[in-house]
Order: sequence, then C-alpha cells, then structure tokens
Amino acid sequence: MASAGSGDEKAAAAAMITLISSDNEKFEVTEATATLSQTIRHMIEDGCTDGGVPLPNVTSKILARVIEYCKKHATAAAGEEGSSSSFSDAAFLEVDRAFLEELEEFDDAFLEVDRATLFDLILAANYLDIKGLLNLTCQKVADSVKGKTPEQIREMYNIVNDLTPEEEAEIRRETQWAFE
Amino acid sequence: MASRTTPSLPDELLAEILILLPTLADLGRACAACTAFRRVITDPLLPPPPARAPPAVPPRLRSLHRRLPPRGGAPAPGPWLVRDTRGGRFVLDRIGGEDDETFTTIAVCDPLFRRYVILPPIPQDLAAAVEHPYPINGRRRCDLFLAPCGEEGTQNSFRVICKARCPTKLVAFVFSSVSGHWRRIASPRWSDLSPDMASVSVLSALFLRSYAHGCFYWRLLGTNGLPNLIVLDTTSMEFSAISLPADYIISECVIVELGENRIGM
Repeated sequence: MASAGSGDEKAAAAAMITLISSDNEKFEVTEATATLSQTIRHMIEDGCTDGGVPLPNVTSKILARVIEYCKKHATAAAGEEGSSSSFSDAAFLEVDRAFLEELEEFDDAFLEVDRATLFDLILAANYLDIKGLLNLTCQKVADSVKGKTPEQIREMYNIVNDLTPEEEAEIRRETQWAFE
Repeated sequence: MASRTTPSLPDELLAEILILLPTLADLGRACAACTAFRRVITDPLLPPPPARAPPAVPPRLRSLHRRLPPRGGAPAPGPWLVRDTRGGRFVLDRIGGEDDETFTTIAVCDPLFRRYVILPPIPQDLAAAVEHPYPINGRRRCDLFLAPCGEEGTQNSFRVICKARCPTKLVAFVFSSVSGHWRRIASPRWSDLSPDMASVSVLSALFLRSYAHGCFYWRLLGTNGLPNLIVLDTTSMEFSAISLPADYIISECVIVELGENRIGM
C-alpha cells in the first residue's frame, strides 16, 4: 500500500481516489487519506472505487472538512506504521510528542465550528466510519453538555422539550441529586 | 437550518455522546432535557459503543481515553488485580516486572464511563521511606485503596492511598487526582502509636479495613494487650491507635457510621 510519507510519487499517483459529495463535487485524495474511513477502505478492498466513490450522505462543505481531518491524521498514521515496535499502542505512543501536540492543536482548531456543522461532522464520521473523528466530535458535544442544566442543554442545541410536565416532574424527582 | 439539533442524531450516536459525560450528575440532568435523551440514558439494553477503545490497557477494561500515558518497553507485566472499589471506581495494580516488586503500576478505572488513568509512580524520594515491607497479598506489599475526596474534591476527583506495613513503622502515601501528585501522608513508627509497641511482626496483620465518618479503621492482629485498632483520619491524614478491651473485639467486625458523627462496631 502506498503511504503518504513514502515519497514514491508514482505509487502515490497510482493510489488516488475520487470522492463525490452529495452535491456532485469531486475530491481527489490519496488512498492513505481515504482509508482512514473504514467504509471507503472496504470499498477499495472490494475494488469498487473506479469512477469515484459517491457519498450521497455528505455535502461538499462537510466532505472538505472531513478530508482535511483525514489528511492530517493520515500523516500521523504513516508515522505510526513507520515505528518498529510490535505493539501498536506502544508505536502510537512513541510517535514524536511534538507531533502529537501539533495534532492536538489541529484537532482543537478543527472543532471550532458551529453546532450544526459539528452534528454534520458526527453524522459523516459515523457514515464513513472514521473512529478518530467520531470520538473527537462526540467528545466536543459531551464537553459542551457537561455541567449544564436541562434548560441550557435545550437552548444550546435547539432541542424542543417534548416531555410532558408530568414526565418532567417525575424525572426531576428521580434525579434530584443531580441538581444539588 | 437553524434547528438541525441533537434529536436529529440517531439514538446510537446520541449514546456515543452521552456516555462521554464525565459524571452521573451530568447524565441525570441531561435526562431531563428531552425524551430522546431520557430514552437513550435510561435504556438498559443500549450497548456500549463498539470498538472505540484504544489498544486495551488494562486488557479487560475498555477505555475511551484519547491519550494513553507513555510506556516504555518494560518486561512483561503481571495481571491486573482489583484492589479496592469506591463510588463506582476501581483501583487496580499489576506487578511491573522490575526487581523491586514493592511498588506496582496502579490504575484507577471508571467502568461505567469506560475510562481509566494510570497513576504516576510514587517518587523515589518518597518511596525510600518504605523499608522491608511485609507482604500483604501474595507478592504484593502495599495496601491500595480509594479514599473519599476531601473538601477540594469534585464528584469527578478521587484519592488513592497506598500503605505499607514495615517492621518498625507504617508508611502511607496519597495520590490526589486534583493535584496529580503523590505525597507522603504519615509514617509513624509503631512506637509513636503505642509506646509499648516497638515493632510488629509479619503476623501482626492489619486487616478488615472499614471506613466511617472520614476515618479508615483496621484490625491489628497479634498484639496481645496492645492496640488492636489502627485509625487513619483522612482529613488530617494521621494514624492513631486504639486499644479496645480484648473481649470487646471479635475476629470479624466492621466499623459503621451511626447518626450524629458517631461510629458503631
């Protein structure tokens, strides 16, 4: 498999994949970038990526962001593969700390999006099966809900309170301890 | 599209998010936000999200921690052993494979939220106070247990106490998740606890740990006529010894909390 860090131009050129968003925009990415998505990885393995991979659930705006994430993290994955350790987690840990920090900064900046985009990213990460991105985006939402009252949560995410007053009173009784 | 909101996520994704909430209180409050949140949070059948764990350390406990602490190429460590539980948390340790097996690798796990942390090792200058510790559990020589958090603690913080019983003294360290450090809390000589007790033998075991109103209690065995109850006050972090009448102490006893700060046995 061609890796992003190989420097082998021919192999890299041979391993380009075209992703097609729901609004018909085409994105050319390396195989190393694309295979961060397990969904696309399986399609590549099954040999059904000729003529491009249509992604009807992902808009071009979101796909561009997802590719941005995958490019950055594919470089990280390449560094991981390059390590000689036989323990995959140990290999991950031995990746240069500075690079990890840079990656973390990238992730933090990447998450600076409005809430609707954040949810679109979660849906795309789930559909494309990109675990790192799913973790990252879900954590971002969880962090924003942390320490909030039900009213604040509803306001933040435009959630309609569809609990009946009786249900709400019952939940409040059951979870009184959570409000103390 | 101002209202592309959380309920538009399928339950399985909602669960992925809610399981990441750090405290039970967060889950409790989220429950009252809307029916979807409540449905997901209270669904006993909702499976934990699959395959989200990094390579498992400890193997049986899945974790969602994004960053694992660094580990070197240490010799094959022993199995993890649960040493104590408190408030839904577990403290585990394993023998690291080094020559000195006194100090083990310690992890605190929160299975409900599928998280764990590996505690930093006890600094050597502190650890040096432990001299010829008696074994406590097979090859293990330190007692490990979770202590309730002090005043500064939040629901999410914890303290771990590591205690070693040496021939001439008791040594204990506390790790606070708030400070992220170990510190030595006390190392009284046995003679400080009771003038007649210069040293204790391997047979004078401390066992039946119980906790009541901020203090841990242990039965001290094999000390006829000498103190038979050792107390650790978790506020002052000081040990003391109590002598109860010999016929007052039966082999199996626990200290329990009664009302108004009184304790019962």
